[in-house]
Amino acid sequence: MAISLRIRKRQTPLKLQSGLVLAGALVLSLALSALLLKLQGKPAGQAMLVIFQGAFGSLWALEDSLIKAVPIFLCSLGVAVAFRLQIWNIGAEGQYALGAVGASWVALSFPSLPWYLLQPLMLAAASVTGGLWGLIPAVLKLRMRTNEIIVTLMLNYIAILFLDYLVYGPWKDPRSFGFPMTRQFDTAAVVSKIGESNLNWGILVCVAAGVIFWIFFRFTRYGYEIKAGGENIRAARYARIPYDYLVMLVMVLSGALAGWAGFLEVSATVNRLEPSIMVGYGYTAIVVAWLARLNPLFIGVASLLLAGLRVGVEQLQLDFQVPAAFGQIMEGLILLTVLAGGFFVNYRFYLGKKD
Amino acid sequence: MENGPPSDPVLRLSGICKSFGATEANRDIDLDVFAGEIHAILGENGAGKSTLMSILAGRYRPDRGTIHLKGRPVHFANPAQALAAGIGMVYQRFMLVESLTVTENILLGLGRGRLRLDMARAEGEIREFAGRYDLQIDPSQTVSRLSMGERQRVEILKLLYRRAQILIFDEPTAVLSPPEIETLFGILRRLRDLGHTILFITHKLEEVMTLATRISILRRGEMVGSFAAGQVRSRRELARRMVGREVLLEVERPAVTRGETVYAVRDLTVQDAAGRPLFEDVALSVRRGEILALTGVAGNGQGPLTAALAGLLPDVSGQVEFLGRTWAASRWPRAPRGGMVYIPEDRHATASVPELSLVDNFLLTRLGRYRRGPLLALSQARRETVRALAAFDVRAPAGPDTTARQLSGGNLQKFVLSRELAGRPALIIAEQPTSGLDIGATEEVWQTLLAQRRHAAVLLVSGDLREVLSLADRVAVMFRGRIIETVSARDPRQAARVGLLMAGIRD
Repeated sequence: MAISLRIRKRQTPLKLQSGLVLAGALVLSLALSALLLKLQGKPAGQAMLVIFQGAFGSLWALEDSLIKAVPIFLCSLGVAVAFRLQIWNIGAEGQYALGAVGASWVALSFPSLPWYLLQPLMLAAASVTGGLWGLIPAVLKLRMRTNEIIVTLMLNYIAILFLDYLVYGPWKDPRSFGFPMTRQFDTAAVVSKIGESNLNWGILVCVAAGVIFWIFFRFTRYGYEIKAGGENIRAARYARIPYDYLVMLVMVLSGALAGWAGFLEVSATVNRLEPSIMVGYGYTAIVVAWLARLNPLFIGVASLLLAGLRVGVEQLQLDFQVPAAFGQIMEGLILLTVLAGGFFVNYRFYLGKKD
Repeated sequence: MENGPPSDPVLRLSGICKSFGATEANRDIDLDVFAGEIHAILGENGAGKSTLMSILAGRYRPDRGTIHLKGRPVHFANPAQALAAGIGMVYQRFMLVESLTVTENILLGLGRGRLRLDMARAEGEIREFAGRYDLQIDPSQTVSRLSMGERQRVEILKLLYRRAQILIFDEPTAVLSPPEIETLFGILRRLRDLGHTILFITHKLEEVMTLATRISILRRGEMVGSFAAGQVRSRRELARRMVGREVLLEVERPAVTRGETVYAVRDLTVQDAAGRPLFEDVALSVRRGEILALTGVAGNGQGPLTAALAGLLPDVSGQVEFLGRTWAASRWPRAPRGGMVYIPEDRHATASVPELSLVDNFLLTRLGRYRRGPLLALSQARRETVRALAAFDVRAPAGPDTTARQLSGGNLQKFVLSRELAGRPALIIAEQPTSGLDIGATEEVWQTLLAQRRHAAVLLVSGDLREVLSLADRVAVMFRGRIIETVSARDPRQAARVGLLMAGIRD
């Protein structure tokens, strides 16, 4: 007789305990990160403290984390809309880039408009460009049965290269000493700061978007249809739910929300279009959406945490000469442990006897 | 074996227990099987028959209890060990590789330690083997070209070739046409005569009465009795033992006057991607107050035809007439179909969304009724769900917040009916509405459909002959994509022909 490890599906998935599983997964990812630091000969415990303090330890740090959380939140909310229909939009990065391009075009083309016309116009343009960039993979999926994961991913590179082309080429500021960037936006095109803080009103856009998202999925017909269609496409077709239309709808909404993130980034944070806005928010957003199980409130919390991780790792770089990629490694570890932890929500291990 | 005390059992199961999570599938079951008998394991759906037989065949291991084979205790860790001991099982879903030949399927997994495979010799061997048991089968034929009955014979041959002495069959007649069932019964009797022991799982009383020499009845995981077939006087008595209460075998059909034609189709034809017709030139019509049954052996085109009738199949040619309006069949999928409801066969994954609550599932096909501008009237939907659950006696552990996954098959079907019938439809297309349900639930579904005739036309798609003949006024029989004849089910002489028609015999 030998003891063997067996796996069995749970009769009912974990409910409350799944929070514990999540916490356990996060702790495990931090422990693995600490181990990696240790192997590099860095003081692991101290480094973890530096990350935390660098992210949330001061008002300035907290503000910085919140500012970085805004684009992550909007992109994540966007991919969550698509994920609810089980459409795997990996293209928030590209949709964000196109949103930034759309907003920048308005800012550069209509500099004389007052802010209360210019900024809504920038927002609208970002929605259209981001949304259209999301619509392309949806149409390809429906018409030609392409895989949206591949197409959205590839479109990211096209979008980023298009952005590069603009700032290296036609939109380049003649007075930029050769740097790839547009000229700085006029103040009317810049979303203003809240009072004395470094935060801008983009935070409010996030809150509004989160609330609308919640209402949309809880109380509206399309929200219901997306939920039902995502769970069971055959039932959706049986119930005459317009599945193809919903695929296009979620991809446009998804792209538009990522576009909003692009708009806020160029307008409020950078005040111009430049390649440095492409720092992987669109990919972090996917991690966030998974961590938060597509729930808007949790997406807010997880966005702040992962934005804090970015800010904290910057501090770690300064203090301990850790490479910048370490932040991405930690992000990847978090996603992996949480995905692995999700397994325990539906399955359990037990020891069995074997002949 | 009819008279005289039976000798020692070849198989003795004692105290077998098996649970899946909180569900006790088998509770303290004792069963004796004697050599050379045809032993029916009878019980309603969910009674634990398949679990018990799967334990015997080595697929599951019991939580408690022992199995003695010829007096010696045995433990099977997997089906291969059971087979090595001479016990094999033919599952409801055949375990065959369709793209391989009969011989290849039989040799598969045999692993006789030879590198070179002499296919011609093996084929000859199997041909001779099939002949010995009088199993008509061509060993060189590809399985995908075989009928269901032939495939079943391949499964039997597979077990015999592995020297199985005890053969277990899980619902062996479920996929067969009536003539094929006769053939199977002949084969089983011959196997018994050659010294094999047969166990078969069923919930069909007729099969037990005609075939079994011994009957064991399971009810809710427990063995309620085991006796020689000769001790049973009537089907009614058997049903009572199986269900534990009196079951009406004849359905009462209150007379309903027929009304106008609600739904009719003409010249319906559709082809698959390869250009082969899935069904051809189908015409049928159904009037208010009647039940028209569409029947046939599975795979003769009823599936696609039902999808087309329900408006779920594109690119169909022909005409559809519904409530006085005529549509080209190609436009029917997009036509407004208020007044028509479709109850699909797959209630678990088509008619409902397993992970959503019953309220959300109630909304599924009734969304239009609860729209208030962009929002949904959720509290109203909830009230009506609660009312529907009560009206159809759906047992839901958490009421309207129960997820569809948590409902048993019978309760889920009643839930689907409650939703679809809530709007007093003019046309009901019900596809295999009682498949997989136990007698109690089946009867409730039948009564519901009969009651609907008062205001609706009912199109019943079913392969269950008893259901068809119990409920229908007229029966349209499909064979190879065509309706070969439509007969009256209320005329006994006509009704008797339905079984033959299903096999394509028009005499």
